[in-house]
Amino acid sequence: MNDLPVVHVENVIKNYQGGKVRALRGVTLEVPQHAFLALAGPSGSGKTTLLNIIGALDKPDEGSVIVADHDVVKLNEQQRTRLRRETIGFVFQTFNLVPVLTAVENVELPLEIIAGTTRDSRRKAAMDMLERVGLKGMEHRFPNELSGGQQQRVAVARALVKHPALVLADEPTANLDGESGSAIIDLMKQMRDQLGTAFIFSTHDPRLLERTESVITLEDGCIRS
Amino acid sequence: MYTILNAIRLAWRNLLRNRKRTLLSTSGLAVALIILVITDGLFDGIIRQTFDNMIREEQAHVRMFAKGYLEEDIPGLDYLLTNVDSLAQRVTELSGAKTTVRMKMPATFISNGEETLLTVRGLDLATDQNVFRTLDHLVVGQNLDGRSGEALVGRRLAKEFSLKLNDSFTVLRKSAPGAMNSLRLRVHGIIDTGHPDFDNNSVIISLKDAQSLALVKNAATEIAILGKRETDANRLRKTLRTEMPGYDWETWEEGAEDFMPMMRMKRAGSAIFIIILALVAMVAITNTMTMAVHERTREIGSLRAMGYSIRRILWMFLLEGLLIGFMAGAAAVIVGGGVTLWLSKVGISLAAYDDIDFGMAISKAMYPALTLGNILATFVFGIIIGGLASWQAAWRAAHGQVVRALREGML
Repeated sequence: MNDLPVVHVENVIKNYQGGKVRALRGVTLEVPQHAFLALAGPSGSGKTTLLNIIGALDKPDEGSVIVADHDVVKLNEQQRTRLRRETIGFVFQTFNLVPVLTAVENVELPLEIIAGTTRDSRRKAAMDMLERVGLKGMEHRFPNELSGGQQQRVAVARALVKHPALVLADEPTANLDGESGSAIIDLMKQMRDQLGTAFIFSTHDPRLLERTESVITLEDGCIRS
Repeated sequence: MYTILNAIRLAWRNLLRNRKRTLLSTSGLAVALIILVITDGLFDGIIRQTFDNMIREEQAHVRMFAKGYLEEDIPGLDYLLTNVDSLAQRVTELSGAKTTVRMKMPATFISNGEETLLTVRGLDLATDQNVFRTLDHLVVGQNLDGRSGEALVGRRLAKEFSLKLNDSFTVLRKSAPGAMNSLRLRVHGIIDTGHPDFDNNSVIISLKDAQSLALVKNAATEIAILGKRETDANRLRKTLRTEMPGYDWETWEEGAEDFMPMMRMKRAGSAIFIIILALVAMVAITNTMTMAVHERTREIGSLRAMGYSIRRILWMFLLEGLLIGFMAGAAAVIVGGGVTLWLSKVGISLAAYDDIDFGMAISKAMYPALTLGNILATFVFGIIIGGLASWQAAWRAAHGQVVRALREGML
């Protein structure tokens, strides 16, 4: 693998409501491979918007976004879907697990749409990943049979099972108590160490920021530090 | 690879999330489809029964007439087949089919000072039952035995004129030579064929008596021919027409031409009713799917974020609608098919509607017909309805904004 940054964002501008809301005002950012980066800042500072743009879920009005050698701005809908499928994992604040699927079935979901995987290989990869996140023995439980922290561990496993270059986590601890939140951050860090995946997550919880390696603070759509 | 089985499993589990809602919308469509199966079976049964009665009471497979007979508005005695015995024999030799000779003519019926116009039918008693079942439908009295002056009357005619066994009446008409002629007849039996032309306004007599009323010898209006299968009618006619030119020939399908538009109209009426039911069921499924999409917006956003394509999300929801259609279709096949099959064995008694003339040659009971074609068509129709009903919600789920779905839980 080359040493190019996994994410390169340059002078990104994003406005909403016809320019009335200026979500990002010329953000420039470079995220190296294997990074463990926190996006901090108050609500409305542009953290989620920046994550959505890096995650190829949204397009900037101006600027360039390179993710794992792909120019996100130039990709069409299909290409962006493929980029997300193959290169990016997502962890959400509200876990967003499919409630009718068991933990292992949820983790298998991203693999089901990747060509060349077999049922057995998917199941094995999902079981392995659940073991890595500390859920061995809970593979066949449904989300409503798991605690919030355990559900978020399933979500982390789901994001990592396809071995993406980058995992984006939008407020992954916001719905968890302090202890569970810290445990999730530690888990993500541990996974970064084991798998080499870069993590970018947003939070406004100061206690969690202490556990990260680097922090970028956003304020009113601009990087402050 | 993402397999269809996984997709079906997911769709099935999603449907079970809200069992009551799924059950309601599936039941709605199932009821519409069950009614469709039974109604279709009923119409098919009526048509089949009517055709069978037409063939075995009046039309046979092919009928032979004198040239010009079929052009008559009210066929009478102007165009008669002559030398019918040898003609019938020749037809049998050429076709290998069964034949019988009949004489049909309008006449005035007079009984106890009351009169009406009806049809006098002369039957060759030696051969008629080889082709027709008319003489099998005796309900009162005895069949004709060849003695002059005996008659069978239709059940409704007997009822209308209060005719009992051994009552006498007169039939009157212009004979073939032109002079008026009459026959004094005695009720020897009453028949109930299920064919309105026979039961309402027919007097059945022997061919000999009919010839004597018409003042003709060895002549008749028609020779009826019954082949092995009703589908052979056209082939049979072609052979006979080639070998015996100079006659009019009519197949049973041509004879049933008047009946078909009426059936088509009744069927169209029923189809409109069923389409309305299906539309109501569709609305219920659409509502179910719209609610499902609304409740699972964040989930849809997550799937899109992890790389599920628009097409895959569309199929995910379409599959749920298709599954509802599949279940409703299966219920229709089992319940509707079961009921139709049962009714086809026991029949639907029309005894309570004894006085109603349905205008069709159906018997005292209707027997619905269960056909594989109808069952399959209904099943496929159910699946299509399920798919169509879920299309709008599926489209919305697939094409919603991912960012908005994830952040606001709205598409």
